[in-house]
Amino acid sequence: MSKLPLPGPPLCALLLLCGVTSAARAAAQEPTPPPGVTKEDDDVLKAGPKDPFTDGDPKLMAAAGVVRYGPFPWGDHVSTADIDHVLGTGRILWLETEHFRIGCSLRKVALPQDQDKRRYLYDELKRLKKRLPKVDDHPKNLDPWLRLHLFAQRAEEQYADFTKRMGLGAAEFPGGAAPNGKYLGLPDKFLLLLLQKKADLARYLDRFCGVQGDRSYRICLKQTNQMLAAAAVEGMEGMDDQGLQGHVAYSLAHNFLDGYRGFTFELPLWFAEGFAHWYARKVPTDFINVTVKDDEAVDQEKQHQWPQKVRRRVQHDGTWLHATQLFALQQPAALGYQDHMMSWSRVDYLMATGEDKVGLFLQQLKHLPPPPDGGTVSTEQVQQLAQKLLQQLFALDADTFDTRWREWVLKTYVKK
Amino acid sequence: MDFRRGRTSKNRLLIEWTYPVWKPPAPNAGADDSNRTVAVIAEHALSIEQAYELITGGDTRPLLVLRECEKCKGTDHALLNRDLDNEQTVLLTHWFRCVKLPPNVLDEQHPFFNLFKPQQDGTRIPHLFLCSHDGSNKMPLPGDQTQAEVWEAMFSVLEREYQGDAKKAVKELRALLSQFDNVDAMERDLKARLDKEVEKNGPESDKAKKYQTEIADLQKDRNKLFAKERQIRTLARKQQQAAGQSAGQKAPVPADAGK
Repeated sequence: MSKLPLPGPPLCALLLLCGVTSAARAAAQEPTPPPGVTKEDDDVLKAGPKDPFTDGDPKLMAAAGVVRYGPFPWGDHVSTADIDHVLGTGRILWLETEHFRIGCSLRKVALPQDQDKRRYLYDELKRLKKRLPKVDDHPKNLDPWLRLHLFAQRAEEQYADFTKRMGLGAAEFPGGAAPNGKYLGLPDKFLLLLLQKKADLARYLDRFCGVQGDRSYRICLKQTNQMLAAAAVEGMEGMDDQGLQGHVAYSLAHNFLDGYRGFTFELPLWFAEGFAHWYARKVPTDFINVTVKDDEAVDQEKQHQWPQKVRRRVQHDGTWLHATQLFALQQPAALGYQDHMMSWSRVDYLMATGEDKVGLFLQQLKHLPPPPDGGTVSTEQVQQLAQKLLQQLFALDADTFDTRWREWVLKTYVKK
Repeated sequence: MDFRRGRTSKNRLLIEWTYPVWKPPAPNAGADDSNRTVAVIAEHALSIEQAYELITGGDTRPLLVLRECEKCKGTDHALLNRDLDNEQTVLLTHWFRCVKLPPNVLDEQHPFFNLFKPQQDGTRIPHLFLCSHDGSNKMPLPGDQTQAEVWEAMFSVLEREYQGDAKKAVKELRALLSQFDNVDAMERDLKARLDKEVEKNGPESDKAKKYQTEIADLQKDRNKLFAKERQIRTLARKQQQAAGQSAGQKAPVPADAGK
């Protein structure tokens, strides 16, 4: 499985500590550090392994959707204790939900200053508070445990959203090996590892996955057939909590697509990328999951304004990607800024005009049978079927796809 | 005026850390183990020689080895100064193999424990140290040392291991960074204009073509700077290479050579 494109240049600064809360709120946010841990120590160590929002109470855990805390089996027959042993005990908080196992060493951050972003976060906290009454829905900051619960909620919400939009019911996944496993067809839970330090990610990937990387990685674990998304925020400029949220949404969308009915072949690149960006763009952040290439001319100040930029581009020939060019995209590493943005817009159009059909498109693609000789499904087979399905489900051949999409963009996307 | 470093300089002002980990040896591939129990080698402290072999990975540059510490908040504060300009320090690291080890390296069972094992009882455990690739000439640093002390230590290692004049090279490299910044700033501005022009009038407009030509010229300028940078670095490298060859060693390669 391919490595993610690394995010682009800085777009928004880390946000400053702000907001006023009562002493009680602050106390709920900042549990007493465990013995031997000083003020100077890492936020996660200071927070300690006990969840201050449930205190390990089974009833509170069940209400919060927490199945268990670490240590527990992780993936490829490695446990969270094995990972702790290599990276250092107590440096990662572990939590399991219905569909995910999550490891998190994110440190405390301030709330966003931007009012829209803050409102979006408050809405999330309000939903979280319904399940976790101890949560302050207007906290002074986001501490490690709160960030973990927020990401657990985000992951589960995206899982539910994905299954609903794609029309996938539990009956389709009775359990067992892929493609019938309980988790979108996979036999075990999705894995999400969110680390503060690049060093920890690099060590984890090297030691347990046998790959080199220190920023962001998605991989299908070979032995237990689980999809892993792992990222480290250190060094990623513009990666505030919502930047990371957008990045996680992007990674999970990819992993859901790949994991659905088992990861046996790659989906058309334009569709997979566009779909992943479609989820990421729902998060109010200026952070984009694209590395702008050296030879691309993109205004850094406005590079996150995709609707406006696509709208301006479709008005001229030579500034947008024709469907035939889009279908020909095959190498993730070769994708440029425009390829990502145009892929997103095509999927945005498909989702807006027939979300249920996108579900059928995905289902039929993923039911593509392996060739009779027992080999793997070829890229050509997938491309051919995708184009046939666009025709059957949306009545779109390459030319009509171009025409209708352009009309829709001009009608739908804002000018400024 | 914007005094922040541009994209190219920022890339050059990153320390290229390596994060070695010990991995248990894989079971013999192809061996029929179906009827046998297989012993798995448990994690243990490696001998000092094995530890150096693993962290160098065949690289013969001098080593800069840092252990992370929770009190340092995961950053490079043990090496870099929070309040001062660290550019010279970072540029100097490019002649070293920079190794970052986790906080639990101080556990006695940790594979790299012996790298930070105190030489005598009661001596302070260093936060980082500099040494030759085989572990000789070790220079421990406590982590709270001054920037001047870091530089003194780094220059002394470079003087010993390289024949080139690192002080002069660093000075020239810093001057290059400013030139990279100028090119980056102009390019960034032109790219924004080109982006706007293409969106307004399409890629074939006269203005768009003019901007494209200007951007291409800037890229040529940058390539010239890259060549100059290689020259500055290669000078130091060449002389070290000669030293290495005379001692029968493998030639070291600067971390960002060829970039």
